[in-house]
Amino acid sequence: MAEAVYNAAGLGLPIVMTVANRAIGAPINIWNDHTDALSQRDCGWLQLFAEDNQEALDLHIQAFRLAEELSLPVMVCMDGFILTHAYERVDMPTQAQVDSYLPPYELRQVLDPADPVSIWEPWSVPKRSWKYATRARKAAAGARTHPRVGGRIPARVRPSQWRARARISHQRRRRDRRRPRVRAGHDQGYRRRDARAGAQDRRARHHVLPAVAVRRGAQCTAKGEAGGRAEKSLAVGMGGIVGNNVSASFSGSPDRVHTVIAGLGGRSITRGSLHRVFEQALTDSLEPLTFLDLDRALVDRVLERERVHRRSGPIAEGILKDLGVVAAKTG
Amino acid sequence: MAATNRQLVAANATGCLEVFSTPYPETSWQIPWIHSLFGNAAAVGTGIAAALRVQGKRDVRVVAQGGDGGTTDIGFGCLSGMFERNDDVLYICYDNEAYMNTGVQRSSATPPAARTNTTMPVGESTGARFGQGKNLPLIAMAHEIPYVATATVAELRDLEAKVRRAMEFRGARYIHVLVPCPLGWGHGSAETIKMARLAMETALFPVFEAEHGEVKHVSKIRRQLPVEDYLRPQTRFAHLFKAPGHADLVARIQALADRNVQRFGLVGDAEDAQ
Amino acid sequence: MKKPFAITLDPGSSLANHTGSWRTVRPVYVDRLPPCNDACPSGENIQGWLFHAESGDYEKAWRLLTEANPLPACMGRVCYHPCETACNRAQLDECVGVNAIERFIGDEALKHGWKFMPPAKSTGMRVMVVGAGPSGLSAAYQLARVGHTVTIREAGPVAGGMMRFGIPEIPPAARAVLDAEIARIAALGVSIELNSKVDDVLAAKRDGHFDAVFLAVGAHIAKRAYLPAGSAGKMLDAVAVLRSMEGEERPLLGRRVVVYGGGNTALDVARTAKRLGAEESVIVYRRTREKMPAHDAELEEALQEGVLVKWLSTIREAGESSITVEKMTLDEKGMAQPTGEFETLEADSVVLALGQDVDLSLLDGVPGLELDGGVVKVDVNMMTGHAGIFAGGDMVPGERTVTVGIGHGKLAARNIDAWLRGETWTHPSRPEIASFDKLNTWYYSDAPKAQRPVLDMVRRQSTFEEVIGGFDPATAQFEARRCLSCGNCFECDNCYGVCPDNAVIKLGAGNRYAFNYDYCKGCGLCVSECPCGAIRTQPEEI
Repeated sequence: MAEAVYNAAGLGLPIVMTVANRAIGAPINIWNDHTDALSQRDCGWLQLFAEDNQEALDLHIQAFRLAEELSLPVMVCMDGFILTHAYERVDMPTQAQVDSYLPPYELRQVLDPADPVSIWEPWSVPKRSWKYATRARKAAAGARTHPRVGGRIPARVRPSQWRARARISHQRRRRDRRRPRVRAGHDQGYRRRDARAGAQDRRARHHVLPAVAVRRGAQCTAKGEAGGRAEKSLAVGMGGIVGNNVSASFSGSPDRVHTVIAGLGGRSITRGSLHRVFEQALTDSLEPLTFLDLDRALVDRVLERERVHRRSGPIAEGILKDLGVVAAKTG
Repeated sequence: MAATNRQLVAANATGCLEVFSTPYPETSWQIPWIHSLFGNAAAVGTGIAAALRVQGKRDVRVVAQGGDGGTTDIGFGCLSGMFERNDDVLYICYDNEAYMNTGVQRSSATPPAARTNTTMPVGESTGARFGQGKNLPLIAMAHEIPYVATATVAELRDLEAKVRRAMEFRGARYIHVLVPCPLGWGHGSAETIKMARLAMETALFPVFEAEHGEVKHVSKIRRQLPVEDYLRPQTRFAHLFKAPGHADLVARIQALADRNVQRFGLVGDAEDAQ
Repeated sequence: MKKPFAITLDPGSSLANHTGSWRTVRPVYVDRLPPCNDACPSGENIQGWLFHAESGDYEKAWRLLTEANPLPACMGRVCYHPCETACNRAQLDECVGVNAIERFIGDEALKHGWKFMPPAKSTGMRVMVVGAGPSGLSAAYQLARVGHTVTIREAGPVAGGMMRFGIPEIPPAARAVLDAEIARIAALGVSIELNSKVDDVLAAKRDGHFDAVFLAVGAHIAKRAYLPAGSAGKMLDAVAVLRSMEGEERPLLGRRVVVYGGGNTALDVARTAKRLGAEESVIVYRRTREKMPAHDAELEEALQEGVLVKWLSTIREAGESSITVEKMTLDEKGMAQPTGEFETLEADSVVLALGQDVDLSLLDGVPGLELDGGVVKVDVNMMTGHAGIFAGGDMVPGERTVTVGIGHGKLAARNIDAWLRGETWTHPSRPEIASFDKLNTWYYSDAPKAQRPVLDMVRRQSTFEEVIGGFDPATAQFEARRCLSCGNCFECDNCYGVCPDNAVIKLGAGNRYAFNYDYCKGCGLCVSECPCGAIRTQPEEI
């Protein structure tokens, strides 16, 4: 499947694809994180992440407009365990409203016997040029949608539709805006009382994150001493995927940036845990890369065993053995 | 093309056909044509059919085509889905019995005992194994789609007639065409048609038509030839005949041919079998 | 459509690549000589007229056929059809029944009264043809067609030569056919003078103011063999027997007839004897069947009719009602050698069919003219050693058959015509023969030869009706369609279909195809898949 994702981007097809994000793991995992979508972050698609069902609806409409204007395919990513299975009342724009927001699509590439053409991915179009052009488009996508950088594509069909309602990620408050936070999508455990530090609603919308948008967003809100990111994905050996992008966009900036990896494999992000992280951040005791609720002692024991035994077996086996979950069979 | 009055859109899988027909920045196609991936020609065809349906262009027909690798291996899932949904696409597989474009690797359409670069007859090995691979025409028939046919390049008029027949149906249709590959089979390029003919006349490649899962017509063999007549001229089977030889394997291949004769009623009166 | 990006291309834009430059060999269309045409002693374009017959246009077929042979109805009966022996189809199933179709077309022509086209204008030249046999008639016809004034002088009372005399294939019942075909030649302006023996050819040429002469007097003098004959043994010669069949009185041969010889004439006599009521008709021949000069098809028919053959035997002595035969054996060189073993056969009469000599008396004193073993020597242009006198048929060296005679007549006529104009005719170079290995016969469906109705054995032996009947139109057309068109394109579209480079251009019906060498890569598929071998590969000059 992944090959087709790249192919669609290469062909510049204005496709909108809903992605229900789930963790990819062994033997199987049905919970949510972002490792699946973010593994495809270099495929040339725009990726929009919905926080809740209302936003999923809004983003789809917006995605079509982006795809059609930019000839780029767009993924609308949403949580694949809770949002996709949740019923929630959402505001539906009328057809007329959608039509005014989304003008009729003008076909660019048509397979028409009356005017035959051959369409295929250009083998020999220099990949560098293509990549560069795609990067520029993504930047454009960010610029066009981000109100703070003069975007002209509103996030919603009609801004007036925006109204306070109960949502799954309800009761979000923005009282403490001292520290900007970049996040993507839905955080299960994010609750009002924990939001003291988390304020800047800067969703990682357009992957690769248009660096300019991120940085501008950060600068215009952040006078704070430190920035933090919580994310549900991990580039092994490199830290958080979102985090790395944000860090790159902050290069040269005096801001200190922290990354917190949380919720991998669908693990709950609890209020308590977040609270602890925010406290650490405020007291400057947060490490640059933190795994939320990591049982450090357990991991250390496993790593120690691996050091001793030449053939240590799968990592998961080692952890489970330590926990005593797997019985005699694995010895 | 004539069968659709030139109202035709083609989707192509990766393969020789795609590579030689579209040397960037040129194309030899004179009909609307798209290449996406190796394994998704059937899916692209489905998409085109859907788009045409939305646009109300019922007179424009869709053909998807691929080689045996793109059809029987890589694109098999997409193809089976296309069959199962009965999408209005004619899928044509050009079967040269291996991945020839990439340098002759075995596919699931490679016949037993054939030498490919991944089934070299070295040591104990005697080429591709017996009992492996897929018979895609029969698999297609198992989907009970409206039309399934096999053909070879040795009988172009037959092939033409089958495309015409296929275009009389709506829904998923499948034509499996045997196309010898001089490079991969190891015969002279001028013998391409002859090889296809021998495949047919030895009964190793039965030529038939089926509708809704039932065989409707079988091309009878005029004179059944021994499989050796077909195997010997091809270097991919040369190891069968080099001393000390593998008479047992030739006999097994003959048994496969004889089974085809039984199964499809390939020998007998020229009247339709069923 | 505006083409976005570089991914949407104009159709057929790859035609800018002239991939034909990769080629090292190129295919070319050729016309090869079909084996039937090659084998035909009369030089008929057999395949050509079969092509018209296939489409049912028999008049066109007849017109093409008669360019070489003005006597198709006769030849469709008497020719031993070497074309069928050479026919490539024989290696596939059975040869095409050319002979039967020729007869059908010949009979059609007579039925519909088709006439030869008269010459556009007269040349004013006069040619004398001596002898109204097949060779003479053929030459006269060809010369008349190109505008020469032709007179045939025939010693006998009727025209037709050996075609007339007792050949079983043209029994009295079919002689009307011969008469009609001769009349058609006469209608072209050829004057045929019967009972007009030429005793001195130079005198006749001078007296008749002829510019050239074609001699075709045939070979009518029976060769004799010394046989110690007992009292009153009945000894006859084959030519006399056959000739007398034309007269009112049938020859009396008795119940047991022995024919001595192994040629076609021996068979003709033996079969005639059967028809005349002989219980036994035995051919005595000194060598074996393989060595027999007679045509096998004719032998087969004779054997079917009950003619017996005593192989490896010579007649030593002929008595009143029996003969003594000595057994022979073949030596290493294939020559018959006596063994000293003898045998006696009952015989009421013995017919000698040991070959015929030419009556050369009319050539006495012709300067320059050379003889060779009883026949007249001619050069490649059919001219004798005496300028202006040409000769052909049985009186020159070569096989003595009606078909060869007609071929000689045609060839001589061409040469005479050229000579009269002060030129020398040269035989056009013969293209390569379309042999069986050049064909791809898979494309031809199985179609066994159509059989002409054959007269029941009983009636064959006792009557002088035609042994073999003619085709009806449907059968003739079916048979014509069995022709493989060896060596000559018949526009089957195969090359057009199999070309992987789409490099074959159709030029429209009747105009065949051309190669587009801009794209042909010389793979040779068209050459292998051409059913009739009309494409050849030749190396590219680089």
